[in-house]
Amino acid sequence: MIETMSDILALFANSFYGSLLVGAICPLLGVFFILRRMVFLGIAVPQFAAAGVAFGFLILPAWNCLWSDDDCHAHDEGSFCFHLFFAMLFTFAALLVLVWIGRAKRGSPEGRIAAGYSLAAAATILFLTGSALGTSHIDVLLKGEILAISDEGFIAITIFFGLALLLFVFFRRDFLLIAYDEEAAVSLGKSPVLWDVLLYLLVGSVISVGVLTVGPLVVFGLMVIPPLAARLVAFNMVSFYLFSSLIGIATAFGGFVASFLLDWPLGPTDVVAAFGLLVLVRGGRALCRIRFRSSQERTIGNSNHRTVG
Amino acid sequence: MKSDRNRADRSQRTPRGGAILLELKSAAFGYGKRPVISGVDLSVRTGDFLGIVGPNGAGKTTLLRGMIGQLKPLGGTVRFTPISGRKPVLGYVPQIQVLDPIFPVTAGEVIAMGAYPRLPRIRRMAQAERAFLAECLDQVGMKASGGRLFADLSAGQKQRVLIARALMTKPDLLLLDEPTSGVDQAAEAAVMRLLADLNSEGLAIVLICHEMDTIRDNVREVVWVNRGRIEQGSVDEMLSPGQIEEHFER
Repeated sequence: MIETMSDILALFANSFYGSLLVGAICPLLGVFFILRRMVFLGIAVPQFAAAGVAFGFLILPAWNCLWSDDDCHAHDEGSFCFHLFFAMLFTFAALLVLVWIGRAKRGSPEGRIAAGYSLAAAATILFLTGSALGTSHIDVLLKGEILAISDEGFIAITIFFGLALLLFVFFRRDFLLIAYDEEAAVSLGKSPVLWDVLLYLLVGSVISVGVLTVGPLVVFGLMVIPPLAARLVAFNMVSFYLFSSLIGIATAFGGFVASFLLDWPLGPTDVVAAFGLLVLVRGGRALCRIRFRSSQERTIGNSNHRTVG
Repeated sequence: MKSDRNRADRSQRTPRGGAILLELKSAAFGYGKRPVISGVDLSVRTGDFLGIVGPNGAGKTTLLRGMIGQLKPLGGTVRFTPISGRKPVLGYVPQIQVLDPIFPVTAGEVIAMGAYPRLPRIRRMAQAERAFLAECLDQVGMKASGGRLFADLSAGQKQRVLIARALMTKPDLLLLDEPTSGVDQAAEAAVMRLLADLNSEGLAIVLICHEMDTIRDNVREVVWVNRGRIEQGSVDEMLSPGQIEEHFER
């Protein structure tokens, strides 16, 4: 195990630490998708970020021609910041539209989000098919190339996810109050729109950077599955945050080791590991309940026996 | 018998006359651009105990949402009179049905929400605030329940926790949206006793309630909301059999 870990750290330090960060922070923000019953937003928004990245690939040759007098580098893959810009543009546009329509409380939320997801998935494929780099990038984008996190990707994860963690800790009470009881929040002088905008800015930034570095599948998996598992065992809000983050870290760690040992692609392995933990937590909880119930029955039985005696 | 006693109590209740906390003038509230309730002239003074009654869909909750600021007035004004240079603090108790049980919040965490505007951003609650939280829990008779999940409490216990949260804000005005709906008679009596005690200590209370007996036995002034308009008067005026019949026939 020690040998495996030292191999991982020697070969994939960026990817290992990067995925641990993603595993720690994505579930923290995903908690609000679960609590606000907006889980499908968690799958649709990363897909919009992916569509943004694909759009970047589509317009890259034209962009290069615009700014360079030399040849248009048709096979240039573009800078990290270039793709991050489009990922964020598409993410924030999608969040703005979906949340704005959602606040108007018209139509079915699931229907809107499902339609948005279909549009984003189709746009991602169409943009990549039309790009000079071709469809080879579709697989990479969808699976997530965590093992190839570059230095700039790692720096971006550290900065954006670190900042998101700080802001989350700083404003956690406001986010909770607005999500739990908007009317009470207003009576206390809080503006729900303002706090929602801040929360979605955080979520949008994390999703954009996450999609660009680890892929939409991992971002969605880690935003949703660890909080679902944590909800089963949480006994208050602090434990909910903490368990979500810990299960996310355990998922990232376990997924990385399993992927290394089994030679599986890391993105899907992470999601399977998260699901495995969810099943484990649910099973453990069911077992505890059965044991608790039987011990209670035994206690009642003993006291009845004593009363009769 | 109980009614006679309450009628006697009511006659001893202090008349209105405290300083104005909240004043609505020709106010209209609604959703989008469509007013649900309009022409509202209403004032709430310190020490008031005001009951809002009316049929379902008449606009009672809309009026309360306008008072707390969740709905901006579509017309007219909503004005709070500053107390010592600050806006009066509102303690709001929503209907328990609006609170989603998916949140794994404990009773203590729910009550702490009332103190959020005062709490430091990073640090834990100070000792004094924790002691005040325990005091609020004690005041509503839930001393040992701070660590229990809110979703696991009975309807009556949830109402009491929400009242404790409103008290945690150190309110000048308490607004409650049907605090006795879905609770059994004993719990209803406990909630109303608590509100009466708080009012006797000088706290202004505005309460939406469907139970005419509860309103008759506890409040000092009644606001009838019907078909988007309001009428305000004393309990005896507004809840006379003739008035009630007239309102429900309209």
